Order: sequence, then C-alpha cells, then structure tokens
Amino acid sequence: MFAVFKREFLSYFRNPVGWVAISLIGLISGYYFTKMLTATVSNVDISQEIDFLRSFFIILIPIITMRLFAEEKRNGTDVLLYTMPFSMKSAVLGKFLAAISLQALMLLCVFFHMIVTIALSGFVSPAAWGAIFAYMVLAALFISIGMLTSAMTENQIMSAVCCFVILLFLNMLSSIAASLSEMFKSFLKFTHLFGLSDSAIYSAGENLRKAIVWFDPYDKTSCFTSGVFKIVPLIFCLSFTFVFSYITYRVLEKKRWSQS
Amino acid sequence: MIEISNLVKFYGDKKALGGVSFKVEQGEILGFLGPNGAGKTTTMNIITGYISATSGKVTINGYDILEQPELAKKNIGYLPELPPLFLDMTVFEYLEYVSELKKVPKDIRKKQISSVMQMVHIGNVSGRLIHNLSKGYRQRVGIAQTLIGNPEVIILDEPTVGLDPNQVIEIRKLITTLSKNHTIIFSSHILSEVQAICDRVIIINNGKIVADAPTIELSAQVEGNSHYLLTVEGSMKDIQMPLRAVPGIKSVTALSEKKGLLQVDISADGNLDVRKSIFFAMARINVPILEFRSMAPSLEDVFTDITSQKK
Amino acid sequence: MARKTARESILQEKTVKSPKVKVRSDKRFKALKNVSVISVILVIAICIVFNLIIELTLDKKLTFDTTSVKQNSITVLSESYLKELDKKVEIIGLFDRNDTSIEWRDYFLPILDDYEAKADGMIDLKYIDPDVDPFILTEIDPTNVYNLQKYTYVVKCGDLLVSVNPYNCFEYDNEMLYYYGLYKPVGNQIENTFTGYIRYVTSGRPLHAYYLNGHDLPSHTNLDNILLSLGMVSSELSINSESAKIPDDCELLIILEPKSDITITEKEVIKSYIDNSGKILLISDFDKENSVVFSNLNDVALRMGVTLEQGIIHENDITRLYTASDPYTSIASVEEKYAQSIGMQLDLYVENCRYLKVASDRPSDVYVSPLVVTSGSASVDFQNAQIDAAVSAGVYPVILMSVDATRSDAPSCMITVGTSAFTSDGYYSTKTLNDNNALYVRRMIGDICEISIEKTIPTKTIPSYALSKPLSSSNATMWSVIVMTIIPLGCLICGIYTYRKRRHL
Repeated sequence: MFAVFKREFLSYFRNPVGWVAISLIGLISGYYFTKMLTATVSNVDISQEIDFLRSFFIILIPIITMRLFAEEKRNGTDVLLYTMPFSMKSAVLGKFLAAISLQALMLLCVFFHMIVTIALSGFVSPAAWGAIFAYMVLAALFISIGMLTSAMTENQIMSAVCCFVILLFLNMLSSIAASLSEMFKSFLKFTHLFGLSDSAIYSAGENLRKAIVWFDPYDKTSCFTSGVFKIVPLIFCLSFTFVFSYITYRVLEKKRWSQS
Repeated sequence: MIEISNLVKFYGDKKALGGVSFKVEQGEILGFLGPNGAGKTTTMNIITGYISATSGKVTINGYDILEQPELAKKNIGYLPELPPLFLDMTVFEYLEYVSELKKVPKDIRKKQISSVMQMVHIGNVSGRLIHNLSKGYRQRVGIAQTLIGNPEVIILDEPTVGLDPNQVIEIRKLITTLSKNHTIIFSSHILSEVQAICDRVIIINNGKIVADAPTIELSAQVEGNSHYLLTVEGSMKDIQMPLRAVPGIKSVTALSEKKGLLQVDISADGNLDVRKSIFFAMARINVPILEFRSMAPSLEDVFTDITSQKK
Repeated sequence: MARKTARESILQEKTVKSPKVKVRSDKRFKALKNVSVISVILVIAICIVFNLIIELTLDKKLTFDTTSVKQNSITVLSESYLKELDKKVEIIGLFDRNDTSIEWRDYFLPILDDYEAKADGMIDLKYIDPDVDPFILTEIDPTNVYNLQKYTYVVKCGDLLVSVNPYNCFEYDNEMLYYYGLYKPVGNQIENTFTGYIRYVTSGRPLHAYYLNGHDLPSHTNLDNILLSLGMVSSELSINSESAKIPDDCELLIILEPKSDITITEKEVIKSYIDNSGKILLISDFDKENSVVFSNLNDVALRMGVTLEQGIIHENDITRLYTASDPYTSIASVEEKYAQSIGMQLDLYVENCRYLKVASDRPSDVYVSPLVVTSGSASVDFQNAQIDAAVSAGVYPVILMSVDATRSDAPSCMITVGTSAFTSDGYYSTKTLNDNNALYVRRMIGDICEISIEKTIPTKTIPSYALSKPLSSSNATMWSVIVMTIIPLGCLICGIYTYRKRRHL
C-alpha cells in the first residue's frame, strides 16, 4: 500500500501535474482572498473562501484522478499490480491516499491565508475549520468517484470526462431533483393515474425531490460554512467514499474472473 | 513447479486457447514457440494471473493462481511483451518500487537491487530516467524487475523482439546466465533463438500445443528436411524433370516466375548434401543459376513438417 | 504457390479438426463473479441503509454549533419554552431551502433546524417555495390579511399567525449604512424573534401592542424586538377618525416620539382607552431645534398626572456626562426605591431628555412616581429663557410611571419617557439589545403589562470579518502580490525546475 502511495504521490511532483494543480488552486484561492482583503470594507472570512473553492472540485478532481488507473492500463504497467504478491485493495487504498494527500497539500494555500488573516488582525472563525473538514471529506468522496471512472475507462481523457460529468450531475442534483419532481407532478396531474388530489400530488412530488436530494453531498455539507458541525454528513461522505473505493477494487479484480 | 492443465480461453466467441496442458520442472528453460497470435501471450498472462482463463487450472509450486494468488505470484517474475516501465522514474526508483510491491524486506532491498542491476548490467544507468533509455536497456530493466524478490520462476514474453542483433545476443546470454538459478519460461517466434537457449520447446499454434519435446529431438525433426532457394533463368517445365531426378530431393515448388526468372523452393533430405548435384543438373541442361542459397527452416516449415510427419 | 497452399490447407484442416464443442467456463470463475457482483450490491445497500438509520437517529445529537455566540442553536430559555409547548406550531419558510442566493439563509436554516430538533415534534418546520406551490399562500392565509410574500417566514399555530421578515431579525451597523450605504448586520435577533412569535401564537392570551400611527412615526424594529422578547407582537394603529376605537386586544398603546401634536379625535379615543384600564407607553424627547407644543398630548398626559414641559434636562455633574462639552447626554440611574424592588441598579444612557413634571392638579386616584432619575445636580434649560430662574438644581425624572387606581382590579397605567434613548432604532444601531437601556425598558413594559419577566434572549453578535486594523493600500498590494503571484508562480517554477532537471536524467 505504502509503495503505491509513495509512487503515485511522488509522480504528481515528478510530472508538472501536481505543481500545476497546486499553483492553480493557489491562484484561485489567492484571488478570492485578495478580493476579501481589499474590498471597501474588508471581509476576510476564510470559510467563504473554502466554500468558493468547492466549486472547483468539478475541474480539479478529474485532473488529479484521471491518471490513477487509466494511465497504468495504457502503459501496461498495471501488469505489475496484477502479477505481484500484492492485493488490489492496497493499490486502491494507496492511490486514493496519494490523491487525497495532494488535495490536502493544496489546502496549504488556505492555511497560509489563515495565518495572514490572523497576522493582519482579522478573525478566523471556528466555522472555517469546520468548512475545511467538510471540504476534505467531500474531496475524498469525489476522488473515490474519479478513481472509479479511471479504473473503468481505458484512457485518461475518457476518465476525466466521465468524472466531470458525474461531478457536474452531483453539483446540479438539487435542481435536477426539483425539475424531476415537477415533471413527476405534472405527469400525475395530466394522466390522473391514481386519481390523486392536488395536495397528494404535491406531497408525492416533494417526497421524490427529497429522496433525490438526500444523495446530494453538496447539500449535506453546506451547513459547515455557517458554523454548524455535523457528524452525520461526514459519515455519509466517508461511507460513500468507501463504497466507491470498494467498487473500484471490484472493477479491478474483475480481471481475475472476467471472460472477455 | 508449474502445472497447467487444460487451459481454455475464449475472447468473446473467439477461441484463443483450446485446452493447453503442460508441466515445467524446476531448473528447466522452456521455450514457448509459436507464430504471432498463436496464444503464447495469452498463456503467459494466464499463468501469471494477469488475466483469467475460461477454464483450466494453473498451479505454481502447488499454489493455485486463482485461489491463493498471493502465494502463487510470489514465485513468479513476469516480463510481458510491453515491459511495464514507468517512464517518469529512474531505474533505481523503479526497481525500488517493484521491490516494495514484492515486499522485499527493507534491510536487503538496496543490496538486492544493486546485485540485480549488476546481473543484468544496468548499474551504469541506475540514476537515469527510463524514458531516456534505449530499447535494449529498457528490456534489461524489465528483466531486472522480474528478478527482484528472487522468484523461482521467470516468465519472459518475447524478450528479444525489436532489439538490434547485438542486443539480442546480450539478452540471450543473460537468459542463459539466469537459468543457473531460475526456472525460465520464455516465448519467441524465432526458432533458432529457442534452439539456442532452451532445454525444452513447446510449439503452440492456434491455441493448441503442436509439439512438446526436448530441443534436441525437435532439432533432429526439423533437420530431417533442408530447404534451398534457387533462382534460375528458365521455366518450370525445363528444370522440373532434371531436379526430380537428383537423389534426395523430395519436392520442388515454384515460388515466382517473371521475366524469365524462376524462383523455386527445393525440399530435400537433410541427411544428404544435394547442392552439388543440383548445380550439375542445372549445368547439364544449360540453365544458369543466378541465386542459390540454403534456407534456415522457418517456423512455418516446422509446423508443416511436424504436422505432416504426424500424419 | 502450390506448396504454400498445401501448408495452409494443412493448418486450416487442423483448425477444423479442433473440437468445436464450446467449453463451459469454470465454475470457480462464475463463483468469483457472483461474489463480486453481490458484494458490490450489498455494500451499496448497506451503506444507504446505514446512513438512513444514522441520520434518523443520531443527526440531532451529532450536530454541534461551532460559532462563539451559539448563533446556530437555541438557548436554554427558548428550549424551556419549547418543552412547555402543548400546541403544534408550524414554521414555514416561503422560499426554496436550497436557494443559495439568499444572503440571510445561512443564519436562519441551522437555528430553525435546531428549533425543530429540540421541540419534540411540536414544531413543524417546512420550506415551501410559493413559485413552486402557488396554493401555499392561500392555504396559510385564505383571506390574504397578512399579505404574505416570498422570502419570508410564517409562524403559525391554529388560526394565529405572524409573518416574519428576515431582514428585521438583524441589528445593522449604523456607520456602515451611513458611510457606505451597506446593511451590515452586527447583531442577530433571530432566536428572540422566533421564540417571541412562538410564545405569541401559542399563548392563551395573545399580547398585542399598538403604535399610534401618524405624526411621523419613526422606525421601531428594535422596540418590536424588545416587545417580542416578552411574547408581544406589535402593529401600527390609526385612530384619527370618529368611529375609531382602540382594539380590545390592545395590551399596550405606544405613542412613539410624535413630531406633531395628536388630534382632538385621537386625544378622546386615547382618554377613553385610559378610562377603560388602558396602558400607555409615551415617549417624547425634547428637540431644541424644533420644539412643538403638544397641547392635546399634554391633556392625555395630564390625565395621568404628568406634564410635558418645553425644557431639556441639563446635567451638571461632570462625572455623569459622556462628553464634557455636551450636558444633554448623560448617565441616569434607576430610582432608589424602584431599584430595590427590581433588585438591580443600572447605568442608563439618556440624551435630549424632556423635562417631565408631576402635575400638582392631578386626579386624586392617580399616583405618579419616578422610575429613572438624573443626578442631584441636574437643572433644566428652558426653550424660553425667562422661565429659567424658577427651576433650581436637583434630581429630575427621566421616566415617570403613573397609575390610576380608580379601578383597583384593573388600574390604568402610563409610562412617560422623556428621552428616545430607550426605544429608538437610532440608539440601538450602535448598541445591541443586550444593552442596559433595552433590558430596562423591557422590564418596565413587562411590569405594567403584568408579564412575568424572564431573562432576555441575548442578541447574538455577528462576528465581524473586517480587519480590526485597516490595511494600508501598500500593504494590501504586497499581500495580493504574495498570494496571487508569488505563491502560484513559485509552485509553477518548482514544477518546471524539477521537470527539467529530471527530464535529462
């Protein structure tokens, strides 16, 4: 496990990928920080900055995760993982840890901003720490999704595109849920399928929306920015991180029994 | 050491292996011979656990590759046709990574890497990026990778493909050296290479084992017939009868005929040297010989010969 | 040619000969496949169920409020009200809960979730977007009395409902508003507001206060919040017509800093209200620049034994002044006797205080006593300097309480406040409702309206994310260069350096 972690993590920095990703985040967060710092009335709220950074997951995560398995498959180096006395679980875990470590490293910029804020007599609220926590947990979830797409596709671009689409979908889950429930409601209304009353139709649509939104990781972790620390959303994200990692492991293991 | 029984592999509807069985004993060098697409790589991939078979069983040192993969894989070093190299690592970093994957104890890791590098003569490039190495060096790094962890069996898939003649010779030498301490299976589509190195040869074609015999026996079989290429100025009609009359010649086959130039393939009994007789036969009928050479038996010839003999 | 085809035919023959029977795949592979597929499905299912269970059972317990002022959770006080609830209360947010464009959303969602969580099912919190469900407005308010709007909350219990405008739940920074035109919230009254409304809609005796409308009634958000903290809601009332009447549910009539004298009609209505055990809060400070003579209002005051004089209290005790140059802005204190009875002595801020006099010719059953007084060395500056001489230095009242004991079962009362410092939004814009003046005025109103006084729910200060030492522009430039240029560029250079270095290894 450690071997894979070490290789993956270092390879981010042997190639320019890791450096570019960090400097990109540095630039983006730096822009937001400067904006807060130099506003007419300075309003340096680090948790807002982290909230802003969350919207870049959709680009960042595919970049970090696309190469994890797809590249090995293309270069034929996956043979090493398959033919060595070594479990695929460790490979998945090692690669996951490498990606999440890179993600954590990116947050160093934010830590630096925190220090600057305090040095400049600003205020860093505990909510900022909660937001960082939620950010990392969300990153873990998305990395596991990216890892899965990387394991399922043959080339990096495909993997990145798939991951991007999934993250985009998750990003818009709330609005998708709303429009789906609208469609569902009008469907019930026009077909008179079960002869439901208006209020029953409304509650049916509402329940459908709630059921879909339940899966929205963004919604679940949005409260952290305003200073609420909830354990349950963290468990939600981490347990689904586990699920996606597990599926990744199973997808890779498929080679052992697959017939095609 | 390695026991393979009734390996069948389908890719979709296409059959790649149709019931391959063989055994490899400790210390053997087994040549795995067959044309491209015969199923060599598939067999090796299955033995090493990289892909699954449709049915059949592979045991290595008594461990089933499917049921106890980790124990079984511990005994194998595998170099696939495309060496699994990370181009962005240096040779040393790469070998270190492999030895970590193979769980070589930390205290002997460095020592083992340097001894392996010495063995395959890559000590001088240990700090260089694999990306910048020549094909031959890359191949050797690939072989070094198989040696890490000191596995009993080393499986090499076409290790000499794409190398220049000097490199080929070096790799062959290397394999011979390795054979002192390891059981080696290696595949090739070049007969002479297998003949030169191996104790035993398995010939595979269309997913089936065509021959499985010690190299010496096979050589004898193959040398039963010798082939000559003859280019003359004349027609088939002119030369057919005189050639057939030469004792020892089994068949004459026209390969091409244009602008009065005729190229024929002559198959003759390997025990007799018919070259003089052919020369005189041609001289007698006033047909000038423009080209005349003895041909090394090709793989196809071996198949034909083996199969025809079996008939 | 012939030979080649012969060979091919032999090879082909071999293929044909090979057994065409399709080999069944090994059972072990099938087993592995099944294990794999089933375990994946199982893991997903277990994960979903596990999360559902955890969310339903532990979510409330595992929610923590990390803000320093507990902005996202309710205080023990509200919690104790919720524990005593015996009726179901609906809180409906008339917007989409997930609409992140609402700037105040983050302040409301968590604390209202906390209300719901701590009410043992007695509070039903819903978010319904009227654009999505247009029937909701008529469902809540069928006769459209309350003119409900999107982006507001509704607190409802039975037939009783109140509409909450989120913007009124904050105290704003006055300076910011003045200099930059920015509404910068500094204090958060959400809990006070909602607890007050919940008390109001669930109490058997809905308490209602009315402001006398007209006469340039100033804004009164902060006083509203103080009333709310007593469970009392307020609205404005016009009584300037013959048929006008003060509603029966009027617990308190507030005459807030009228800029012009009340009309005779109003006077009569108010007087009859007083005769009918009415309670009045009269606030009238003295504006030196523009002093109006309130003869009709004075009639009302006189009914309760008070006269509003055209003079301003001048504090001569320098230790009681805020700034030595301004004798009209001073510290007053609670009158000894009253301080004893309520068990507290507070320093209270007073500015531009009208000279209030206890009328000598008051009705016999009317008792007037001072509640808040100046120091012993105050004097009065009259607008008309001639009268000056008559008044000597001494203790002057800032707030007077009058009780008419004619009806001993239900006496009518009036509190007369000579300064706006206790009630005006202007004053509270720099203070919060945790201020002494607010505590005191709340106590006073509670006293006359016979509301048991509990502790107030404190205003939750909203942390300021502004730098306490403003950044000089050169410093700002330096930091922006560091965070936006040097750090990203540094990383990039590191990347290029290692890449170039390694490339030639």
